[in-house]
Amino acid sequence: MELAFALAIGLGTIGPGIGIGIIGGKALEAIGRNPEALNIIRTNMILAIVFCEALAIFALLVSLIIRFVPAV
Amino acid sequence: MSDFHISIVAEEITKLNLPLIGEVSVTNSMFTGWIVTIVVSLILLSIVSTLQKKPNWAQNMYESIYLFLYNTVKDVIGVNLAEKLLPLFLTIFLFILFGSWAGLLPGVGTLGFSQIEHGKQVSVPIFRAVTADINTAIALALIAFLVIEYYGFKENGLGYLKKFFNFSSPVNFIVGFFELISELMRLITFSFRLFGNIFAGEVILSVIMSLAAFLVLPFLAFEVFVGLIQAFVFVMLTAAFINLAVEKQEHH
Repeated sequence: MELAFALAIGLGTIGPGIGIGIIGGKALEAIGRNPEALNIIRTNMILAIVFCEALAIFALLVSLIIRFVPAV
Repeated sequence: MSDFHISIVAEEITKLNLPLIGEVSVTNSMFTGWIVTIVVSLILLSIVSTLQKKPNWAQNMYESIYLFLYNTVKDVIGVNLAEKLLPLFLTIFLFILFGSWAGLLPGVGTLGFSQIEHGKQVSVPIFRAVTADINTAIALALIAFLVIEYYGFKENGLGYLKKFFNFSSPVNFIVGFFELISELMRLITFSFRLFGNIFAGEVILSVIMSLAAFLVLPFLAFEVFVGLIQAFVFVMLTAAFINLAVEKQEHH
């Protein structure tokens, strides 16, 4: 059970981690190309990161449920 | 093995007997929340009551926070809404910021009294970071959610529901269904993002303290940064979702 708890959050954060890295890199590229659009890019970047992060939050939720909710 | 104390729920420190409501348990993060609210309000009141043309350093600091938040929010939701909603955003921002930073003060989480629970002696801390409690995070998320939906209905009328229940074609129906799910999931992600980040910070700090205490300073600095980022992200997201909600729904 302890292992399941660790695996759920460990494996669950791989995907969002890669995704957030790609988003951040692409946003920096876009800022480099067009520095005037910084505000729009930053807003949209944070929005995209949040949707990506939501998946990691679900993994966190599942692992917390495994750890703290006693099996019936 | 573990000599450090981690509790995922806020512990109860005392019970209050209120008229009409009955017995209410006071948890340590609630208690810290009151203290933080009172202290921050008093500081801000003393700053605001002595406003000058030539600002002193405290007023300068407050004005820079205010202007930073105003400019960021203005870019997302426009001048009209930004001016109307800035008090809410500033309140949420300052509450989350100082609520998270309160957990980094010495004595918070360590100062406590011992209690017998299930035949074992455990120590119950008197203070706990305000946002390291899921109830606080859910309350803040509910406030943000209600404001978002309120502005959605205010700008679009009942047409706002068309975003979620659209029977014009099967594709639109499915899209609306997913919109509805993601709208409700926002509550969960909002609250667990805040709670997860701050609580994970507390766990990391206590683990580092028990492993290598001399390494704790960089992590402490990182937690200061995380508190700031989380407060900013919460406000940013509320603004961005309000912007999505007040958009005119196009007719399919």
